[in-house]
Amino acid sequence: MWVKLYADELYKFACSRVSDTGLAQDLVQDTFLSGLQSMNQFRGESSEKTWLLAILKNKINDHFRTASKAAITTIDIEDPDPQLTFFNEKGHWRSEMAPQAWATTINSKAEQADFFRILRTCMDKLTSLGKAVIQHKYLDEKKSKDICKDLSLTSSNYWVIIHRARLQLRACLEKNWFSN
Amino acid sequence: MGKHLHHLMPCCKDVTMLAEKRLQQEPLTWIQRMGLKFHLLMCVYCRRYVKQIAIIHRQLEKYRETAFAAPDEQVKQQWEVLIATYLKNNAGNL
Repeated sequence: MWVKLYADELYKFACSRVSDTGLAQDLVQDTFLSGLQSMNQFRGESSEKTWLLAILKNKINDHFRTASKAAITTIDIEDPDPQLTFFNEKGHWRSEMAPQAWATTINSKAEQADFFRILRTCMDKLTSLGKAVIQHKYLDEKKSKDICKDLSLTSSNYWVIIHRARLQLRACLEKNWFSN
Repeated sequence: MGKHLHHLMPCCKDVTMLAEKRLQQEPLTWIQRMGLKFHLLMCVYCRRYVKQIAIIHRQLEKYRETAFAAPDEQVKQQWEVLIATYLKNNAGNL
């Protein structure tokens, strides 16, 4: 009965946070299992849907907390300043990375669908933390303050991460879509 | 004088960060706004960057509205089975 009533909504919510559909499925499945295990704690103070959604939110936040810890350590170790990919020591664009004039635009509906496919691919190429920040910001319409809280980031970390993610996203889209 | 102006002027790396903050409606100081403005007057790459990230920003907002589909019927069936099995195995405890 739960599946019929709530699966679509829970899944949709999970997708809005984690774009990887496989992961979203796992999270929903975990939510159902946790819900079953703690069913006797459910007292009907909130609706069943609200209650399951709360469990799902916790699962998602747990996921990101683990992911952000892992991501921070790998960034620290492997990639001291990824900005150097884009800029030289003086902070000027490296010539091979400098933004080019974009040739194509998105006209038809079919093109829009294609573009979103590329956009998704480019988002998947971001670091897990960069991706998480972009998703919280755009798919969940969150304020930067709340994103920092959810992902346990300081405000300056947030700006560094989203700045870098935007640089990478732009470069990826230029290469795969806007350069003809 | 030219030399001093150069020190006030943010570099491309700084400008892309300032542009990011402006895109997200983060308040900038007067100095930052001026630096951004003058840099953009002179730098074609950063002008492109600012224009292009605005396009990406709009596309990401659009993407939200279309991105989510319902889960697979097959997956849903799996969940049904999973729940049924759990309920069967734990019937005594509930």
